[in-house]
Amino acid sequence: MRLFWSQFSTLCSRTVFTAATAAAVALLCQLVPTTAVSAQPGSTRVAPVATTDGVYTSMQARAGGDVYAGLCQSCHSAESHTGAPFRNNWVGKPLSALYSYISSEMPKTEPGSLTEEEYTLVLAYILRMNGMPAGRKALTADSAALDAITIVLPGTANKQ
Amino acid sequence: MTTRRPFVRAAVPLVIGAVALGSLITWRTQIGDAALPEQQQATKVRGNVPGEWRYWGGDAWSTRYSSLDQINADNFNSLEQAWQWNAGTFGADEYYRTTPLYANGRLFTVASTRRVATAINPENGETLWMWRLDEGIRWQKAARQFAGRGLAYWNEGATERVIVVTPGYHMASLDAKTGLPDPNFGKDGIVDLMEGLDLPIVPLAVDDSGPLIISDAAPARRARPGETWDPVTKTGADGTVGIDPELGQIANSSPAIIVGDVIIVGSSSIHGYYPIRIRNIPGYIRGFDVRTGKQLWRFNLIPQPGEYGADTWKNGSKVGDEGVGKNDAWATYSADPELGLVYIPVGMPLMDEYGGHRPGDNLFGNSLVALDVKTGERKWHFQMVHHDIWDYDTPMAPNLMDVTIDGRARKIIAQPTKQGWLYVFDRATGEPIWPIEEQPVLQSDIPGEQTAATQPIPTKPEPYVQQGLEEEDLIDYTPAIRDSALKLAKRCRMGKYYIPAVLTDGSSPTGLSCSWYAPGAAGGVNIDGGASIDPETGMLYVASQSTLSTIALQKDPCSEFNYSSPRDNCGLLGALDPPPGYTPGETRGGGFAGRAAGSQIGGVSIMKPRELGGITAYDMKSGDKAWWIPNGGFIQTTSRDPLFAGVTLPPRSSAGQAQVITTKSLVIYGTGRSGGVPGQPPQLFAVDKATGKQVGAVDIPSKTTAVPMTFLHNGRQYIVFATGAGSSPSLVALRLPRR
Repeated sequence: MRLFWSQFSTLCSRTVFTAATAAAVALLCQLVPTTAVSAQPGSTRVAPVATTDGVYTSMQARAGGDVYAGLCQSCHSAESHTGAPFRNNWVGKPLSALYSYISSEMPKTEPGSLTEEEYTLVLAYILRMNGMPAGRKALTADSAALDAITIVLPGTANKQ
Repeated sequence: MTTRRPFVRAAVPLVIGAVALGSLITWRTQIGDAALPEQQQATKVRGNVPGEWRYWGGDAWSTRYSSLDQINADNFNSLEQAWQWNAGTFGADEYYRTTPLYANGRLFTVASTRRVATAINPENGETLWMWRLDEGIRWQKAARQFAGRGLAYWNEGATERVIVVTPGYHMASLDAKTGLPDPNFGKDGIVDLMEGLDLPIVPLAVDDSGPLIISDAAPARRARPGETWDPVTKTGADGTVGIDPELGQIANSSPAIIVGDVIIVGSSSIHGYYPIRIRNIPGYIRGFDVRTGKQLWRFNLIPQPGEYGADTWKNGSKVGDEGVGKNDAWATYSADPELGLVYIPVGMPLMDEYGGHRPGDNLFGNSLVALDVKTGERKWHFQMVHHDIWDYDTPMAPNLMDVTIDGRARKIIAQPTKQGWLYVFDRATGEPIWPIEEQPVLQSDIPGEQTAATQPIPTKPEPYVQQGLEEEDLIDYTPAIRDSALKLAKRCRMGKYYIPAVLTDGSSPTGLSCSWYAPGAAGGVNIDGGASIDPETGMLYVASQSTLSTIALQKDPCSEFNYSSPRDNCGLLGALDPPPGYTPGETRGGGFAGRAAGSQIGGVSIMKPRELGGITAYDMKSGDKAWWIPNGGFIQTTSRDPLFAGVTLPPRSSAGQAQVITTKSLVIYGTGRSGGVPGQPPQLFAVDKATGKQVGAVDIPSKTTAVPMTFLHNGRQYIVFATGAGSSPSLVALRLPRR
């Protein structure tokens, strides 16, 4: 079975493996850095940042665009996630709130059916759609890290 | 008017033409016709040459069956990738929803949001020719801006044609050998499908440079006299003409079907989730002469005054009447060339969730309609949902079979649906094979809504997905779990099936603020799934998903509709002005938040996992269920919620709609874009037709996004399927290694 790093981290957090491979995977999971899996609350201390600080990579946004085109676009237009709807619903909130919303409510037919990595990629794409700059550091599904990121629109940092 | 000039690069002739509204471009490689085998004109079976795949559904009957057996249970796991064809080079797409055709040595497909038509060398994936139409505003504001489901093929001796219907609703007839438009067809090879509907054609203009916003916001408009195009702002009138946007939108998403010498083509409407306008263009089915493009007949899917069924629209059915619109047959079609009938699965009327503006049963919404191919006359029809308020479009071509039932040879047709039942009829007469009984259903308590008193419920076969939500459907592993599930379930309106929506604020008489919605708006079966059959054994394999969501309606302050699922169109181009006292932001977001709500406790669905969704095999000789498998595997369910402490939760079926075809010895399927077991590599699966037991699985680059197809080329069997989305749609071809 081909297993990429991202898929592996998903494995660790989802417990989808069979009993035969469980022991080996569980052992490997202990070696995965905590940023790649859902960290225990408070296990990592992250400095507060804003979505205008480059919190995702352009590669992630591009890959997220493909996930979005495949699973979201047939029901949504970009208009649903940009401009006033985005400002009114999300600005000032932690990025973890948006992540939670998407990952627990979407897609409508099977909420929660994407992998953590796919949800993270879609989140990166939504940030790019709203003009947030890409950066060097990859966005992860780590709840502490997402809690520490505040959703701020570009050019509005002082208008909270 | 078409001008032609050679393309200067060697060996690649290019034709640039200017039609009335834009330009079309064709190029082809010089690989030429000699490099491809001209096969003998074999006897056609169900309209298809055995070993080829000439229709979207394999053949005119939409069996999705191939008699090939080179790829079988013994060698499936040794399949190798022959090539991968990058559709993204032609432009981006949504998810790539195309099933290619194979005829006479060539593969044909569509690509990109422009719906470029191409031919491909099946041996190596080389592009042989491509053709595209620049449709200007017609494309920019097309309601179905994606590659679409494919093409139609026709031949007469050595004359071969590929028929493509574009997002902007033009139909082109291309020479299958060269990709050049047939000069004898329509005008320079193109028929403008917006003509011939008795609707006014006007010059078009736009006030923004973006697409139509779901559902009908930011539309095109009629151009002002003398208005021109501003290339900087990309607004104004670009010379494109089309049906007056005041009347609504019309588009296309599925290929035409060709029966004899007649092209049968329908239409797609806007999505019906969040419309602003209370009237839109109805669906139409038309027949065209395959040689000339001449319109032969038209069948109105919303019957006009005086036509059969007009009285099922109590407030009137005329184009432009309040509440009138859609009933579009956007799925693929099937046909019986011998009976001379084409079978049209029809979608729902305007506005997915509220029918208060269109009282009545709303024929031919949600019906299966059999039309005479030569005249367009209705031979029979059956309405499967009266006055739909659940978005239960008929989403898929029906499957035709010849089987012996109770000792009697029957020509049957089976229609898979979003609502989870298979409706089975005698395809010559429309008589149900097993009784379909009108049963009383719950009534809506939303002001203005008049739900149908009864709905037709098939007595056989049993449904393939969860129907509604009742107490016995809830998880009950311990008394505490049962109590918790029941408490959660009772928050929304429960029922057996066809549960009507309530209002979000709980102000309708039930006092509830949501209704359970199963199957949901995406089925059941939807265009991603559907059924394949085995004509030799009389088995039918239906791929579906079994989901549970909720629905509740409220007033969109800037839409003409009294109610819709939560949405705020205010501020969008084409929306109504906000009412006095309007506060923005309260319902903005416009997602499906109101439709997908809490049906889980601690990550566990309150609905019992059952052998539903996935792939269900029915023996159509008896109507009995033969076997069931999940789509790609089971998912272990675990929860950290203390409620489930000490309880071993049963695994649940993986999500999504499988994409199934049948061969001589196998059922072959991909999991579809949202199927499979999370964390597992994407795979193509082979299962035993008689038992459902998995006999093979091969890794593929990414999940299938459309129904696969198979064919024999130069002595080797190939399986080709679409995959990917956005910037990376592609076709993948698998074949066995050379021995």
